[in-house]
Amino acid sequence: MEENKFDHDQSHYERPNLPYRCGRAALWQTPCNQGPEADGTCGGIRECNPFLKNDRWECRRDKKFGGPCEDGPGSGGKCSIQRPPCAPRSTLRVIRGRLVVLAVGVVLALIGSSLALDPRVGGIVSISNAGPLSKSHAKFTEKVGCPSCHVAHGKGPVAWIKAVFNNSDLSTQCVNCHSFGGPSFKAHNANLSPDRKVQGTQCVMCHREHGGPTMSTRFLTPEQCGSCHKNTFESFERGHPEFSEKFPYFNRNSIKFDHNSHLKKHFDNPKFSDKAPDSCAGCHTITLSDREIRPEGYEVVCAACHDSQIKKKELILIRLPELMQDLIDRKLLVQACNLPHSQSKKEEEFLSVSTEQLALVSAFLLNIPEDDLETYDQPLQDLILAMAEESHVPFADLINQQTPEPMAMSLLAGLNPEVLKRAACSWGLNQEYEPPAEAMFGGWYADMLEVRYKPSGHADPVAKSWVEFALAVSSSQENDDKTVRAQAMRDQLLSSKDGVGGCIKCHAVTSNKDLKHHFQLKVNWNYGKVSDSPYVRYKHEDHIDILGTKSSCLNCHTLNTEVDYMASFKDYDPGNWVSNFESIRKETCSQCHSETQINLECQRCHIYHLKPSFKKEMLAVKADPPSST
Amino acid sequence: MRINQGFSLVHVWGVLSRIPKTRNPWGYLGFAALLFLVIWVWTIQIDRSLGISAFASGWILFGILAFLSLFSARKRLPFLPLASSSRWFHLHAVGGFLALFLFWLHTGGMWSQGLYGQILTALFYITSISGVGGLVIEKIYPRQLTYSGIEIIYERIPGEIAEIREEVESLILKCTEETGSSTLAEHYLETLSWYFQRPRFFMNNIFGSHLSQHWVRQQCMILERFLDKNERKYLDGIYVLAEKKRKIDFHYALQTLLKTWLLVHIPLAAAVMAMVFWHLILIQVFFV
Amino acid sequence: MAITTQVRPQRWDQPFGLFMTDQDVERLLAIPEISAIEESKFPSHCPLRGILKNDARIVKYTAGDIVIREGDYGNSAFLVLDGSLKVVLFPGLPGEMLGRRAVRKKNLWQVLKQLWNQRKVPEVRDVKRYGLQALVRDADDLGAAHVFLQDIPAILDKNKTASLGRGALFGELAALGRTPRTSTIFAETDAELLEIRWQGLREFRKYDQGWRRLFDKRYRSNALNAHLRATSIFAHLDDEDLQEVADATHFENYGKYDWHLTYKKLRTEDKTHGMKDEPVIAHQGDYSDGILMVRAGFARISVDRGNGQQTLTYLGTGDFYGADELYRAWQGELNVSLRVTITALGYAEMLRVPSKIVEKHLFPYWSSGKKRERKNISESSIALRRLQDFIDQPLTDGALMEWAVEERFINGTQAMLINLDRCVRCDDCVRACAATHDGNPRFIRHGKTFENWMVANACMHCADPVCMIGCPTGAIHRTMSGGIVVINDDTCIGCETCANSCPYSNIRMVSIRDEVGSFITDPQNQKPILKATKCDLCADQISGPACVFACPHDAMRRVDFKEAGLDENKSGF
Repeated sequence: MEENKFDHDQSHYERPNLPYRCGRAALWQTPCNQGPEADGTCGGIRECNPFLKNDRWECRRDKKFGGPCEDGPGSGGKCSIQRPPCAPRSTLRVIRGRLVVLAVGVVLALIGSSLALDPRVGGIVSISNAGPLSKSHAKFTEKVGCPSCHVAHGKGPVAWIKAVFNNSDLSTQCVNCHSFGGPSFKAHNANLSPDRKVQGTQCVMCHREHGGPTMSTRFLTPEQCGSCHKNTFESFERGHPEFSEKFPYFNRNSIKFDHNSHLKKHFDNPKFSDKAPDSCAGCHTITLSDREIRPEGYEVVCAACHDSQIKKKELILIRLPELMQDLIDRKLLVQACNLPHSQSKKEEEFLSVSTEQLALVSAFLLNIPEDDLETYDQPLQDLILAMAEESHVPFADLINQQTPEPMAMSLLAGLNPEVLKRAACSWGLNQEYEPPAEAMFGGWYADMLEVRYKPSGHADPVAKSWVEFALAVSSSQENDDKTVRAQAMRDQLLSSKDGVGGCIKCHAVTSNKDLKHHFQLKVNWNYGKVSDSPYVRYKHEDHIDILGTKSSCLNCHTLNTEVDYMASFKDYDPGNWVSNFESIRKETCSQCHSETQINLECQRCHIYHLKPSFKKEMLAVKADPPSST
Repeated sequence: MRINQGFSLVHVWGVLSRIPKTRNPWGYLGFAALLFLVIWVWTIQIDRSLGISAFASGWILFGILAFLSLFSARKRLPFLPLASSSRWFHLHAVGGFLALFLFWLHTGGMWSQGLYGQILTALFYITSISGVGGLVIEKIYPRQLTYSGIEIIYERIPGEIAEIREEVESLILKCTEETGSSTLAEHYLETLSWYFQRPRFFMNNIFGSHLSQHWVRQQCMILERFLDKNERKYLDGIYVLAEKKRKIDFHYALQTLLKTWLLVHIPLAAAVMAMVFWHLILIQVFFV
Repeated sequence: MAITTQVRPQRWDQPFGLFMTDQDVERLLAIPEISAIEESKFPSHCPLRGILKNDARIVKYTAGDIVIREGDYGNSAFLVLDGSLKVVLFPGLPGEMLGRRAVRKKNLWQVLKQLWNQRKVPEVRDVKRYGLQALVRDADDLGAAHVFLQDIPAILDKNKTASLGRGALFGELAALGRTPRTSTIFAETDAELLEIRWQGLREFRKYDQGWRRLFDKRYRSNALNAHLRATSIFAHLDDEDLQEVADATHFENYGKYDWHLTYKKLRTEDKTHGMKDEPVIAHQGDYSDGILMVRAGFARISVDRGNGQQTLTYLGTGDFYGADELYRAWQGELNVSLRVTITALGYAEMLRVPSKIVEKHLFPYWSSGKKRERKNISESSIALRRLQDFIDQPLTDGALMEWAVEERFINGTQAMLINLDRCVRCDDCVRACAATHDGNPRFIRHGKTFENWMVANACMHCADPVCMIGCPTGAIHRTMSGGIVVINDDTCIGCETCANSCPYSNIRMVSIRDEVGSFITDPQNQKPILKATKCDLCADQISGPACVFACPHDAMRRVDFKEAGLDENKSGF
C-alpha cells in the first residue's frame, strides 16, 4: 500500500458492522464510493445530487471522492456519472447469522416433526430415541413401546411438565414384570438388617438400559457392590474374607457315607474292589453338575456291595421264649390248628423247647419284660393261642393301638396269615416250627422259634415302616416301662448291625425339636439337598470342564482322615457333625482365581437378587373352555 | 511492551476476577486439566456409591457449553467490563478441550446410542474439530500474512484488484499502441486475463504452496522470447503488478478462511446447544 | 426525498461566554491591560471587540472556589478584574481536595442501550441537538458549580502560596503551550475574572506586541521556575537557589512550532540525509556545557553509525540529558565528552542549565552520599547503564525505535500498535469501536508497518497535539483531566484544519446524515455538512478503550513508544 493511501482524504472508514457490501465488489469490479444503502439497495447509481445555483447546475460530489467532477451535471440536473445499480450482497457476518438460524431451525424442525409423528411409527426416526434396548427388553416392549417404562411418553406436554417435577418411577415400572423372593426395593430383596439404617434401593441404581442389544443390564462392578458393604477390597485374591469354617459342608449328610473308610479300606478290599468306582465320577453324576454334584441313586452306587447286607438283616417279630409251663388251653389249640385229637392232652412234664428270650418287638407290643419268665409267661401264651386262632389279628390290634394312625397295614404288609398260624400251632405244642423250605426269597416267614421278616432289598417298605414305627412309639417323654421297652425296641431296630435291613447303617437319624420343644427323631430317608443359599452361585461344571473329570475333584475336596465321621451321627444332633472332607479354604479358589489369572467379580459367585422371577405369564394363549357337549 | 491503557477501568466481575492474570496458555490448560481430574474422580466416586454420575458430568458439561456459547455474546458487548476478549478467548479454547474430555466422560465412550444422541454427538464432534482447526489457522496464518510483505483490508481487495486490472490493461494498451505488437495483448486475452479477473490459486494459498508465484514467473518467462526490448519494459511493469496481485490473492485466501471457518463453527455450535436443550428436556421428563 | 439541511456553522456561532454583552465589552476595553491594545492592528474578520465578545467571558468566583487545578489541561487564560487569588506552589494540593471530576462516563443503562442502537446508517446526527446547543453548556466548562476548597487557612499555612491581585494574568502558558496547568489557583476572596480562550490569546499574541512580550517574559519568570521545580534533580533546592538556577538557564528553541506542515515533505527525502536537516542541539563528542532539559517537543538521541546515525531513543517533555557526563568530569575524570548527538525532532524547546550552576548546586548534593537521588535520575532520564546497552545493541534490536522516531510516532501517548503476527484480521476491534460510537468506527485498521508491527490510523493523543493548532472554535481540545484529545461534535464546523494538520492522518472528515440516511446539507449551496471525527479513547465508556478490550488475541495495544522502547527486546505482547 502506498503511503498516500492512508491519507484522510484517500482512505475512509471501513464499516464491517453494516449488513451489505457493494455488489460490484462482489463481482470483482471497482466498488462505488457510497456503498449500499441501509435498506440494501445500490447506493452508487449516481455520484452526486447536482445543485442548481444561479441557474447553473453544479456537481456536488463529496470532496473525499474527488470533489466536483470534470464534466459536471448533464442537462436537467442529472449527474453525468451514472451506473446501473448493483445487487448488494450480504456480508459474511449476516450470512453467518442466517446460518445460525437455519441450523437451529433444522434441529427444532427435526424435533418437532418427530414429536408429531406417532412414537411407534416414528420409532426409527424418532428424535427422542435414546438408543436401542437390550436384547431382553427389546422384543417385549415392541407392542407397548416406550410407555412400558417411561410413563410420560406419548402423553401431552402437560404430562411432560408434570414429569419434570416428579421423581421418575422407572423402578416402579420394572416391578410390573420382575418380582423377587422378598421386598423389591430393599438391598438383596430382604430385610437383612432392620435395626440398621440401610437405605432402600432403586432398580436404576445398578441397571441401565438403552445400551444396545449387546449391553448387559445385569453387569455390576465390584465397586458398586462395595458402595454398601463396609468391607471393600481390591479383588477376590486380595481382601476377600476367608470362607466360613465349615464351608461348604454346612449340613449333615442324610446318608452316612464315610468316604474315608470306603476309599481307604473298602474299595481296596478284594471282595469288592471290582465293583468299586475308580473315581469320584463313578458315584457322583458330573453330567448334571451344578451347585452340587449328586451321587447316583442307591441302585447305581451302593447296591452292588450293600444289597446282600440288607437282605441279611431281618426283623424278628416274635420269638418263642423259654416258658415255664404250658398255659395254653389244648382243646382250643387242637381246635384252632386242626390237630388230631390225640394232641389235646398236655404233656405231663413241660420242658420248654426254647431257651431264648422274648423278641423285643413282642415285648414292647405286649408291654412285658422280655427276660422275666414269670411275667411274660401268660401273656405270651395267650398271644400264641390267639395267633393260632386268628393269626395276625392280635398283632394287628396290638400294633394299631400304639400309634394314633394305625400302622398295622404297613407294618405287616405281605404277611400270610398261614405263617403265623402254623408257627403258633407248633409252638403251642411246644415244638419248633419246621418250615417246608428255606425262605430265600424274602418276606415274612416262620422258622423254628421265630417269625421273621426278611427285607426284599433296599427301600423295603415293611422294614422302613418298622423303623418309622419304632421312632414314633419311642418319642414319649415319660419314664415308664413302656417307654423303656419302646426305646429298647427302637435301639434294636435302628442298630446298624441288627436293625431290620440295616437301614440306619447308612441313613442318618436326626433329632429335631417339634412344636412342643420335644425332641423328635427322624430318619433322613432321602438324599438331602445342599442347603438353600439363594445368594450364592457356584457351577461345578465350569470347573470340571476346565480341570477334567478324573482327579479334579481332589483339587478342592480333600479327605480329612483324622476325623471320626461316623461317630458324629451317634447323638442324632445335626449340628454336631463333621464332614469327611476338609473345608474348602479361599486359597484353594484363589490358586486359579487370582488377579492375573481368572479374576473374579463379585457377581461370579454372589447373586444380588433373591430368587428373581417374572410376574407375567409366558404364554398369552388361553385354552378354550371345554365344549358343553 | 508496557501496557498503557489510559483510562480503562477494567474491573472484572464475578469469577473471572479470581483467575490469576496470566497470559500464559499453559496456565489455563493446567488448570483445566486439574479441573478435569477432579471431576473424573468425583464421577468415579458417584458411580461407586450407586449414584448416576452422568448427572454430575452432564450438568458440568452443560455449564461449560453455556460458557462457551457466551463468547459469542461477549464479542457483541465490548463496552461492558466483562474481562478482556483475549481472556475470554483463552478460556474458550481451553474450555473447548475440557468440554471434549467431559463429553467422553459423560457418554462413557466415543459414540452414542439412539438417533438424537448420535446427531448430538456428530454435531459436537464437528464443532470441536472445526474449533481446533480454527485455533490452528488462527495461530499459523497471521505470520504467513505478515510475511507476504503487504497488508490489505479484506473489504478493499476487490477495489485493489480492479485497480490492478485496469492498470495492467492500460499498460497493455499502451504497449500495443507504442510498439504495434499484439503479443502481450493476445497473451493477456488468452491467459492473463483469467488471472487478473479475480483472486486465484485459492486452495494453493490455503495450503501454503508456492504455485501462484511459480505460475506468474512462468507466464512471464513464456513471453520473453517473443518480446523485444520495448515490450519487455511493459512486461516488467506487468510482472510487478502481477506480483502485487499475487500477494493480494494470498491475503484473500487466508483472510477468507480466517473468516469463513466461523461459518461452520458457530451455526453448528448453535445446533449443538439446541440439541442439548432437547436432551435436557428428555432427561428431565423421562429419567429424573 | 427530503433533504435535511443545516446552516453551515461559523467560528463564533458558539461564543465562549453566553452572556457577554456589548456593555461588558466596553467595560473591558476600559481596563488598562486591554486598553493598551491597538484595535486597528486586528483584521476585519477578527476584530478586537469580536474577540472580546466571543472568545472571552467574565466569570465570577466566590471565596474558596478553585479557578484552575494543577495538572488540568486548560484552553484559556485568566485576567483578574477584581478580587484576590492564591496560587498554590509546589508540591501542590492533593487531588481529592481539588475535586477532580472524572470524565463523565456513561451509566450502565446508557452503556447497555448501545446494544440496541446499532445503526445501519453511518454518521447519523440529530440536528436538533445542534440547535439546542446554545442552551446546553459545553461539557468542558467548569460547570455550573465551581469546586471549592474546604479549609483555606490550613492550606495557606501548610502550602506555599503566592497572591494574585487585580490585573494579574495567568494560565496563558498552559493554554498556548498545550501543556497542563502548573499550579492550582483558587479565589481567596470573591473575585471576578476575565477568561480568554486560547484562540483569543493567539490573536492577542499575534496582533499585539505588548501582549507578546508579556507572554514571553512571563514564560521565563513563571513557567521556568515551575518547570525546574518539577524536575526531580532540582527538587531539593530552596527558593533562592532555584531562582539562581532559573536566572542562569538559557532558552533554546529548535525547529518549527508548526513542524507538522513540513514534516510530510521531509519524509520523502533520503533517509540517511533526512536527519541532516534536523536542527542539532548537541553533537556527539562535544564537551558538555550544561544539562539539557526538554521543555516542549521532542529531541532525538543518536550515535554515529556507519554513514548515518542510529537512533537510540528520544527525549520528551520533562526529560533531560548531560548530567552524567558533567558529574564524571566534575569528579575528575578526564576527557569526558557527550556520548550522543541530540537533535530536535520537528520542534524542541530546550532549557540549558550551565555547568557552573549545576556544579554549584547539584553535584555537592549528590556526592553527599544520598544514593536515592542517583536512582531518581534513572527514572526520569536515560539510565546510565541502559545507555550503554542502547549503544551496544545490534541494529535489528533498535530498528523499531528507529522507525518509530522516523515516523514521529514518538509524539503519541496512545499509539495503536498492532502485532501482525497475532492479528487474525477479524476486525473485532473496528466493530467494537463502532459499537461504542453509535455504529461509526473511529479508526481504520491500516497504517504504516514495520516488520510485524503496524501503527494503525487511530488518534495517538499526542503529547504535542498539533491538530489543536488552528481550530477556530476550540471543538478539538484536551479534556480537563487526563489529557486525551477529543472533538466536540456539537461545535465542530467541519473546516478540516485538524484533519489536514494531523501528520498521521488520524482524523477523518465525515458527511453527516439523518436517520433515514440522506446527507444533511447546507441549504444555501447543497454541500454536505462535514464533521471531524477521531478516536476519543472511549472516554465515556465504563470499560475503557473498546478496541483493546475486544481483541481476542492480544494483538493490539495503545502504547507510548517511550515505554515501549525500553522493553522492546522482551518477547512482544
